[in-house]
Amino acid sequence: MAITLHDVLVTAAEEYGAQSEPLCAETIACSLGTSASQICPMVDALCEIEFLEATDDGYRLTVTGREFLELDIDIEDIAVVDIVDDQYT
Amino acid sequence: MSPDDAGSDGKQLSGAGDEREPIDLLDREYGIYRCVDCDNVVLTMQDCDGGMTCHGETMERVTESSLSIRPPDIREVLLDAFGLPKAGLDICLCVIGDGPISPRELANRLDYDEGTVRKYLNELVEFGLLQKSQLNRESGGFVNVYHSIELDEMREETLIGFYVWAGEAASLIEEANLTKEDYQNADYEHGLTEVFWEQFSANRTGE
Repeated sequence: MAITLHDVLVTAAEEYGAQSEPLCAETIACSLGTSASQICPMVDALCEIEFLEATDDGYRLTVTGREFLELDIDIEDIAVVDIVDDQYT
Repeated sequence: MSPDDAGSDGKQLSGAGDEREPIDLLDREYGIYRCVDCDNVVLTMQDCDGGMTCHGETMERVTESSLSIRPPDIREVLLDAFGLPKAGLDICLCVIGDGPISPRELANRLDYDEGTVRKYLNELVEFGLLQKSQLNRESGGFVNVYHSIELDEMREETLIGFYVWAGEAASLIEEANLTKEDYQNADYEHGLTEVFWEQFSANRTGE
């Protein structure tokens, strides 16, 4: 079965919760039984919408990503993500 | 011309066709039934086993209409019934099943400006085709997530919404016919045209 963006986010959240420290794409890929090269574009897409953040030590789940997972919505059902800076509020 | 009134090909909206067409009512997915005892006429999208009933009696399926109709255009239907302009529909169609994209990316795809996209995203939320969740952002500000509602829910809600609109339209037509009947039975000083539009103008003012 094809790995979805949602699978990657859920796995990253689980691994991050278990390790309590940033993780590399290989760790997420290993948990999903796939290669890092398949996962990397999805991790980048999750960073772009600020659900994950790339740090020097690896990727970590953001508050935005955690709040999204609490909504119990599949990322594939998201149409648009609009990042609004503080200056516009 | 604004995106609201232009077709996808840039032409002015004028409906699927201005020609009136006879419709074979037995060849449609919907059914119209009339009561054999009263004036009740109903529309159904499902072929119910045993047909429709009124007063406990089986209703008669209407097989032809003496009035020809102009076939509806989906853009006009959505605009008239729900106030959803073409730009809103474009956005809705563009984002379904395409995964998360930004308003800027969506604007570029549709050749609209970002402000228009944001405006119609919020209209689609108000309309009920999209839901909006606001998430906190660590660096300040927030992230608005627009997600689609369940397809089954969307199907039922849009159908019910359209039936409400159709019911309101049918009430107007009925009122127009009763106004003509009243006119014929009364001694009005003015002609039917004046009486007719005055009646409807008064009703709209009174709303």
